[in-house]
Amino acid sequence: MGGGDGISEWIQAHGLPAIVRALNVGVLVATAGFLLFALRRRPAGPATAPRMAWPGALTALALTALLVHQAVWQLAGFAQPEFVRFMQRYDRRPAQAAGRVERGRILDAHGAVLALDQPAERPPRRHPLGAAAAHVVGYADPVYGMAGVEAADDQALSGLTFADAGDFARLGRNLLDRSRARGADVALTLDARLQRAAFEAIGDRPGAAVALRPSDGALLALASRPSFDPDRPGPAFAPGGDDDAPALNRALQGLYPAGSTLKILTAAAALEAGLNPVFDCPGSGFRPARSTPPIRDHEYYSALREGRAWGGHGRIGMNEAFRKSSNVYFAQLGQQVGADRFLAAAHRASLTNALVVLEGSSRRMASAAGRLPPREACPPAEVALLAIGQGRGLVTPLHMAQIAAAVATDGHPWAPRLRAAAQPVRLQPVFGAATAKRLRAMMRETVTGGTGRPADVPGLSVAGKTGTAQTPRGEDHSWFVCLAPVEAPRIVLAVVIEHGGAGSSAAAPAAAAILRAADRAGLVRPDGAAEGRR
Amino acid sequence: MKRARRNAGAAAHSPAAYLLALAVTAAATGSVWVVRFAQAPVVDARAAGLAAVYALSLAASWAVVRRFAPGSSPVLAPAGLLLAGLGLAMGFRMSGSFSMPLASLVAFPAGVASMLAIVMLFGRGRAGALAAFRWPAWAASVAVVLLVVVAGRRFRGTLFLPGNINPTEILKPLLAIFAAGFLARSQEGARKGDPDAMRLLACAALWMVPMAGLLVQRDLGMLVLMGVALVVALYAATPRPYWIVPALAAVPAAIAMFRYTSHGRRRVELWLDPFADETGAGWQILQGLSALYSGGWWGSGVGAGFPHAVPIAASDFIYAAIGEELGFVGCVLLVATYGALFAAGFSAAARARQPFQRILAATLTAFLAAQTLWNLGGVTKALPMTGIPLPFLSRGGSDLAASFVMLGLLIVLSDRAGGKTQEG
Repeated sequence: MGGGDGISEWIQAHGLPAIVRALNVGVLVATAGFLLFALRRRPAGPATAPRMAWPGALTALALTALLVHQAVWQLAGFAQPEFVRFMQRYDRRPAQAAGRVERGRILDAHGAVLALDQPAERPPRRHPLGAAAAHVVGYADPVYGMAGVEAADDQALSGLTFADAGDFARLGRNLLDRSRARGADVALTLDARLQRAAFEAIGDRPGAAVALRPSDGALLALASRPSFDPDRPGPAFAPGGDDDAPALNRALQGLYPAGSTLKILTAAAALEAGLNPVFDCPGSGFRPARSTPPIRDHEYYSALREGRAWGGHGRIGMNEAFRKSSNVYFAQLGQQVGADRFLAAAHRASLTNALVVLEGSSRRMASAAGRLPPREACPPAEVALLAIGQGRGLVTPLHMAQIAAAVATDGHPWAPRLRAAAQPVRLQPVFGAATAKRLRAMMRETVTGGTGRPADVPGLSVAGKTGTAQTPRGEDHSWFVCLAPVEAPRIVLAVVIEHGGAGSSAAAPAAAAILRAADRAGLVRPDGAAEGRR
Repeated sequence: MKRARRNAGAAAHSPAAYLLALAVTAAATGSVWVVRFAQAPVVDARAAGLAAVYALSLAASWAVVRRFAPGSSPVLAPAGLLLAGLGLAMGFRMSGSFSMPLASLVAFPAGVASMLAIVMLFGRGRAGALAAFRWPAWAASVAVVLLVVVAGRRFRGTLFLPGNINPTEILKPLLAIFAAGFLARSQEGARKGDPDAMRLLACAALWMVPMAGLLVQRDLGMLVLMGVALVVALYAATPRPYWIVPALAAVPAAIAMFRYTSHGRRRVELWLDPFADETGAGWQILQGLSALYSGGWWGSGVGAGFPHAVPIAASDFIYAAIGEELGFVGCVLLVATYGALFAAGFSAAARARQPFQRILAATLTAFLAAQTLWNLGGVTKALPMTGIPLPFLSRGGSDLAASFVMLGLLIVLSDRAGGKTQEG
């Protein structure tokens, strides 16, 4: 860099001296004067080879074409999204016109601002929810680039998508006066209050929470912890930081063993197959294959820790097994369902799909795809593990919320969506209405009299399922998946808290807190019945 | 400028055109100077030195052209000097705080001196004498190419002699003199008539000898210029459409050059999609376009922009700096000035009394026009970048001097007055 930098900054601060303007007009006027002089000179003498006019004409044509081409960049460069993006990221001119494009705002479903430009401030891009929505809303930073909705809908936010005649008129004005252009606003389905509540409910541990409206797939909250300041995302990428990966959006990208929450799917697959068996569930557990250690129930381990013996559940049916989250029962049920039917149910539930939440103008925003072993790698022992959410299956919180959404919608869920204006799209049926009804009843029982009791918020008729996913290291991951109210579900939640222990001890209370906030926001019961008004 | 005096020989060489060139350069330099003085009130005396050198060159050019080539185009010399003056101002602008671009301070007076020497030697219709130098010119061009191939060092993909001199610039006037002399030979004396196909073929073959050296040197830009100039030389030599042959042959040659050499392919890929490697190979072209965009219609003012963001803005990418600081309007006027220069060059070819003068004027103008188009096309992403300087404007040494040599030749070629003209 030469001396030009300091000069530019000086001009920024003090403005261009009038004499400099005059001198530059002088350059242009004197050049124009010379051209007038040249035009007035007629060449002397007759043309001896008139054909020599052709190379001259061709040159004139080429120079004109060149100027037109130059104008496409110099005067209308803002119509080329890649070019504007390049200038916004890499042009360090303080007066760069591309930098004057004011990014559009990102809004929640009720018009609350999630991201806006405040040109007078440094950095100009502000995110009022801060860390609470840093992952889903994302950031737009000159150094660290973009993420979240900021990245997915960058073109629209930068004012580079032309939807109607008004946009083209704006383009024309910009061509003439190079005035401040303004990007389009992007409205999301999120509820800012619920987003904040979900973020706070997760607590200080890493984890994620997804809330969606089952009746149309609208995502109400996508919270992830640990988080970062989206106005200054730098520290999230600092080298040598801890391995908590604060930039990771765990709600969409976090892949976890589902634990017992996947028993919803196992039960659904069994019910769809007409299976409703009674199994003996002894304290000694169930050995899915000769070579594998026995699968036991959590009561066995609690008893063991307390130095007691535990005799087992005895012969129990699906309702009781579901309520008590019996691994021994569901491992046997999984084997009876079989790999084919279990995997088919999982695929119908979109478990292995990357779920697209936003078709952005720049790129698409989607979850990670869930993982299941292929059919040929599913011997009965593996199916027994998969059926209780262990083994080699991995899911994201959004996938679990979708399974709960299937339960809430009589087995026929909507695709999750983040853009308010996006048309709801129905996914394929996952299971039948009768199965869904039975699952809702079992999940309600789980909350009223089973492992899900900590989530039983009075008056909300919560129905849910806990999950305690074993991990290779440390405490178990704590899951809770629920819907409310059970009679006519209006909200679905999936909460995971890493190393939170049993589902009932960490994730279920967090879900209860989110549900209370949702109720205050009128998202669970019709407004008249909301807690605050009673 | 009275209409009646328009065609009146030396009187046509109005000082007005030279004074306008002085005004352009002085205003541009003044703008840089004021911006710097406003920032830090240090009197930068280099601006005065620059103005003195430039004003002296203008005065000498006016006097010499008027005296020794009174019937020549009154546009050529002031157009070239205007462009070179703006180039000096931009060189001053792009230079660091107190390091003057030595190359332009040496190359500019040397170039103007060469131009004036040519005018003095070959003015008043003596341009035909240059035809005698056709074989020495050819031999010299081959020698220059050999020298570079043997002794050159690679820098930014091209070979240069020590001191980063690229003497291949001088090939342009040398080869033009050779081709014009060789092709006009058949039209003199007893053997009146256009050159036949064999002679055209021989000319093309001899022309391609130094081109082969350039291929080794991987100087794609110069190869393109030489191809264009050869086509124009043949076009000027005969009304029969033999020029189509090299023009058609150039298409597969260009495709081969830009597709099957790694050097060429890189440049085409970069041209088609600079965003593919925007922080690497595409950086310069995209920064150049950003500079243009930030300039908008009127520019930031000379000295008040940010042209250092563009790598090598002072030489090959000077047009990006001009677009940034003088805006699109300034670029239109600048391109029109080039247009006026080329129009005068081709006009000299159209009005030449002898085939030699016609072919030489056309070939020289073709060299300058093709080089201008190729450079401007590269900076604006209309054509692949090949790293050739902008005639008269880029801060350079050998190129600036060679451009003035060619301008001097064009001035004497446009001189219809011959020996039988009125004195000023």
